[in-house]
Amino acid sequence: MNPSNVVRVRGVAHYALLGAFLLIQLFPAYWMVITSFKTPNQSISVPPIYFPTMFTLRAYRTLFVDYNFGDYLLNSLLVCLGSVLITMVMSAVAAYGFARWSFPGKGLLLGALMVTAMLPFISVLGPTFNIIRSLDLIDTKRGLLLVFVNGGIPLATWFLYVFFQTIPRELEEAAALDGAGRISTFIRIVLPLSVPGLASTAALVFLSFWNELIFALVLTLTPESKTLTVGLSEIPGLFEIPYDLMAAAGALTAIPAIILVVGFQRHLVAGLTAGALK
Amino acid sequence: MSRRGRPRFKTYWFVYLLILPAVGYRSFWSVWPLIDTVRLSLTDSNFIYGTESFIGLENFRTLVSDPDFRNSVLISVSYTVIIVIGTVILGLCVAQLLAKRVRGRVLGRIAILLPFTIPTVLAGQMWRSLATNTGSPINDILLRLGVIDERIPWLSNAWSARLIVILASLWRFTPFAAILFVAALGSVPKELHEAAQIDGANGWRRFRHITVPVISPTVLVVMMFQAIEALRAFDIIYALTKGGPGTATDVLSYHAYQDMFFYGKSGYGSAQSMVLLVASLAIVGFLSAWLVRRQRKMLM
Amino acid sequence: MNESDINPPLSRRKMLGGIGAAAVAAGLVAGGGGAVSGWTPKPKARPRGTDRPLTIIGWGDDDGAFAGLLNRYTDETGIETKYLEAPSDYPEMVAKYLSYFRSGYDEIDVYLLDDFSVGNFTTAGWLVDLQPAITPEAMEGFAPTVHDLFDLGGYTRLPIYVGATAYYYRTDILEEAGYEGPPATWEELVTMGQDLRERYPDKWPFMPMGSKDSGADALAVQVIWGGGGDPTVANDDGTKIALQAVHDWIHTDGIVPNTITAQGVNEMGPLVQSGEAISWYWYEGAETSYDAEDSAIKDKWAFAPWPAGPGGSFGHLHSWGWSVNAASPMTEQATEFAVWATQSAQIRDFMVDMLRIPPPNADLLADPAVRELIPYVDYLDSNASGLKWRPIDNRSPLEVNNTIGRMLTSVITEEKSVEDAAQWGHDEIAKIIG
Repeated sequence: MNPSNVVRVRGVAHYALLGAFLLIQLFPAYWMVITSFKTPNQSISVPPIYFPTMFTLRAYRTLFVDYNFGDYLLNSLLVCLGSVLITMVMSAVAAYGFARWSFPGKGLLLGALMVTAMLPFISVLGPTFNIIRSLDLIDTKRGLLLVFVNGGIPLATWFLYVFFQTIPRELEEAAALDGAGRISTFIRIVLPLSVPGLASTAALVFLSFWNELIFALVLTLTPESKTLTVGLSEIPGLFEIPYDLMAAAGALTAIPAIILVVGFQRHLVAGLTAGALK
Repeated sequence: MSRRGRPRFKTYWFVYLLILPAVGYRSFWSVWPLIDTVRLSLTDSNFIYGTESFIGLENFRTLVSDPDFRNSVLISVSYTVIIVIGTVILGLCVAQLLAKRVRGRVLGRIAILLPFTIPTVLAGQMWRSLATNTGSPINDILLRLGVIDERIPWLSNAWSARLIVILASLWRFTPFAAILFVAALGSVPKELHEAAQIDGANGWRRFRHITVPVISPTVLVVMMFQAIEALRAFDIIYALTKGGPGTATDVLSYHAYQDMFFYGKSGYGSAQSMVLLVASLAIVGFLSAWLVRRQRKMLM
Repeated sequence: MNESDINPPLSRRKMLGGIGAAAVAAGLVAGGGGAVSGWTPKPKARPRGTDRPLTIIGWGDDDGAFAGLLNRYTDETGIETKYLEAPSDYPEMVAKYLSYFRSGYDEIDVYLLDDFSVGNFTTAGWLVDLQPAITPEAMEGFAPTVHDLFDLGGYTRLPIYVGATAYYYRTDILEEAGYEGPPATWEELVTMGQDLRERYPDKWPFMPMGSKDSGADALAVQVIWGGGGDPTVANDDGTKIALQAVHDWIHTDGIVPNTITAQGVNEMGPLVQSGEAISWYWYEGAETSYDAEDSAIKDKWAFAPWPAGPGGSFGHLHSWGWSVNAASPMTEQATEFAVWATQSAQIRDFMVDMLRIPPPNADLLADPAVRELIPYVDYLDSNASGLKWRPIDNRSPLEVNNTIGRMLTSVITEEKSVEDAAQWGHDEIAKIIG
């Protein structure tokens, strides 16, 4: 075989494997989306329908009319966006402190922050519930927000800690020489440079909130505060699983993920890579 | 580390102020549960019977001889090992596919990120739809390909249920490994590969002696993340099998959850939490130490 | 990888644009969905303290039966009510209720509970004893089976119905195969089953639910009774006969699939509709789904008493009912509600007429109109001696019944021999009951 044939074969094999990989990774999502446009009977048909001849929005309509998904969507949006905002502010400030200074207890505190992240959720669920209850915030969006922010702090602090370390200090030192205060240095010099890192961290944190299930499940009672994931988990009913509804709910829940992924994939990848590899 | 003059305690007040919101907030919510878990694990606390008396390490002794717990440990450990090895190998393969500048790379990146960014419980439900008793596409495809001759009730048998759980988990967790490996593979200097090629080394030897040393820290980091994630896996089991059929997929976190929130055994459940926590910390500690040692070796 | 891959420049405009696009998209989805359906966001009023409505949590209310009940209550008494829907998944429901009760949550007054959770929650002291509030007339209004229930488990719950399991089968398939009726004994079950399996290799003669969360314990208890055993003892001869029987049905006689350990309430629907199950067991209220317009088995099914084992024919009774939260500041009103809601007039409206589920009231059970509407009532009556209440120990019924279910499962999966399983069951139960 001459070299160019070898290269061509390898190229074909490469594309074939890539194609197979794409197929396997994307098929479950495709199946979900296509099922969300089926009628209930179509969704459990044997053999399965891979491409319906008729599409229907019945599943989506049912979710909004009978299952309060409009409220769930709104709640998820409000709670997640609010939580991201608060988490980012608290964590960015803390991460800056960790990144730029060394001080007694730094290692301990950073380590403690990470250790608490490894505590199994069942240990945190009970006490968290009790605190929220004593604050009278059961079944409120505010209560969820408080809990979510707590969950987001380790992730955001770590990623930003790593990220701030990549910003060269010279700029800040130059500003200090020019007489700028620490706070204005942070706001006027560091933050603008950190937009990519902040954005990717915010996106990852948002996703982790959007996808949260267990705490939302226990802390919510009514469409007043229930989130999309809670609504999704409640669809398998008492006797049968309405696969079409489940698929539609899943599609709704996955929308931000899809938007973020398609729009920001380079940044997400960069953020993940940087954060994990330090 | 930067130094603004000699470090004096007086100058630290600003830093502590900076980290106070995050650290303080986190302590309020998470340190108390940590202490409480340790405390409860040493009692026979039970919500239903209202008991709470100190029994020392009795819970842990009971755990050791409890066949259900041992079953959970076995299942969790095997699950973790399979996921760690599986995601690393698959992640490497996928990373190889995506590393070169070929068409479809962006689509590949999207495909890779998608399973990672949706709720885990949704991933579980997606696979549950794929593996239903009636109308399952998996069965349909396998039937058409002639691999099987009658439908398999995937979630009804212990072994097929485990297979589905593993497939769903690999689908969900490989992307993370692949993303990191793409970055790592990209950091291998091309010149080394070219030089080795000129010297006549074939692909496999080049991989072993050039690529592996460079990416091994990343491999270790990936293994660490996946191991911790797999050890704590809950959402996928919750959405797919709820620990069943029987106790076939009863991983540690689900088992502890049941003991605590279904039977009200807060003392016994906390002991199981402690086991999980210690195991996670041990993995982090062990792999970090290995990583540090490896990096030190490389610098020499 | 070059620098821009590691730290891609992200112009502020692009990011804001992205966020804006996402927000617009979300708004479109919500608005579009709303436009399609006429949905509007719910109002936010949140009253507090004892000025709040009487809050009741129960099943998902797709058909509005509970909403109707509560509206009638408000009409009659002027007391505002609020209805919450519990998770439909049973372990989830228990986990959630456990958290709320344990923390002393006082904003839910009335809970709809099943036989198991009521036992556990009563032991924990979270429920109000309703006996003082039940007048002699109200007491007499309840059927004898309900009195048995009170004797068994105390008065922390007033039942909204009394149901039982029965043996369900496909009339058309049995007729086609030449049988006049369903099997009456275990022996008949086996011989008929083997014959049916030969004729219809793609169907299973008997598919009893046996899953961890919704089946194993029910099946175990009924079969053990049928074998003449006592589930709380577990290592007596009757139990062993029963365990052996189920094992043989699967592994020797081949009339039951070994997949029943993963088949529970969720799975039976499709299995019945697909025709794979020739006979199974189910609860009351099946007509609504089995005789629905698009049901594949419409008018092709019937139910009968369980085939009898050496100990007799047994199905189990079960019930859900209203319990009052001891931590509630409105226990008096809550108790009044529970008593009111379980009187014949109310039960007739929402359980009988809307949900077609057998009532707990003696007069309704004797009413021919009710009997015609709900054929199940006849079954309950004629088999009264063969139907027993399911929770067999009220201090910790969740654990006990779960243990019995696992005992059976270990025999089905052949993880343990019948002897070992029975012994294990006995030891475990002794540990729990104490």
